[in-house]
Amino acid sequence: MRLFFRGLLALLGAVAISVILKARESGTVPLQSGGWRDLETD
Amino acid sequence: MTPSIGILGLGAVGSQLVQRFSTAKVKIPIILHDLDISKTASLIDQLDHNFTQTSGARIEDEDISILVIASPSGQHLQVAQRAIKKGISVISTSDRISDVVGLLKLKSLAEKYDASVIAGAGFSPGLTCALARFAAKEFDFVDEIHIAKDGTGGPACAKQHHRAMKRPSLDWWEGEWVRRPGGSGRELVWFPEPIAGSDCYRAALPEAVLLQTIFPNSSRITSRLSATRQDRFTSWLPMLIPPHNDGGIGAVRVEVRGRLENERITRVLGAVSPPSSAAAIVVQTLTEMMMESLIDPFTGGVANIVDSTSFLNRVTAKGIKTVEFDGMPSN
Repeated sequence: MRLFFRGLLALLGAVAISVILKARESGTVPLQSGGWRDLETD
Repeated sequence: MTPSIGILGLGAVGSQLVQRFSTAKVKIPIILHDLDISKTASLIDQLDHNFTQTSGARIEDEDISILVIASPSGQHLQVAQRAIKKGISVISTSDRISDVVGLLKLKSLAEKYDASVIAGAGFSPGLTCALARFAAKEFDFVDEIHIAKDGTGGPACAKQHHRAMKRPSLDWWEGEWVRRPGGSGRELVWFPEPIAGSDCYRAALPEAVLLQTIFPNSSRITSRLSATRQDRFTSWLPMLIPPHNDGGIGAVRVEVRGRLENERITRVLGAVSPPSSAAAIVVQTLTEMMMESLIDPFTGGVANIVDSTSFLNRVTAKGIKTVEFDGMPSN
């Protein structure tokens, strides 16, 4: 039973860490491409 | 033969094409056919008298000069073959490799019956091929072409997207054809706004097959499809949720690398539009160019058959936003 709770705790910890990291990443990386202009075909 | 158009398949692309012809007040006879007879009947009720439905079971038995095949991918080859044997030119919207390869193999048959076959006439392939050809005009030598697509049209397009993700890709790599697993090769691709960054993966896409004939000396021609993690991890399963009626806005990105006066340069072009609308515009433009005799009888992709500058001018005027990346932020 103790082993089961340890495993569960480790799993929850891993999920929490990845959620925090993902939130931090999306907060720091500006997801904006920019630099596109209308194509000139003349 | 009296100029007349047949449209097979009234899904997202076919029905928008019909509406566009109707809005453009095209006066020639247009014959519609779909497996769902009620869909054809309800559409015809809203249209002018020059739009009719097929009298028999096969549209190629009608008196038509151009047949647009907008039915789901995988059903194009046999219809095209029968149509060509009756001297009918064919425009196919299929983006399935087997359809495109099969249609290109009908070249000798098309020459015998003096018909044109345009394979892969849609947003991607289709518009992407024209963009690649246009971008290449600035180069002395084209070395690499990399194409990426984001978004889907109607339900049939979404199903094909799902199918393409689990099938191996077909890329032109260092002078030979290379197949790699679908869903591999993740690459963050920057599309024009509002799509911006999206992860793209290898998939069973026919762009390389269509472009390699134009750029046989290029070293690499690849294509990728944008997908979410859910798309990737469920690609091996049947579609669990029914696809949406229309996928909304999408984009394509075409990167061409090559040499100009011994200097290596890269040109990145793109387009933004709902994929089903873009495919309808591409097909409408090709049909108009055929009717105006601007296209000689030929078998190939869009970029083989049309002058890319004239074609892009026409599709831009019809509402597809075409752009070029210059790296200078707008604000």
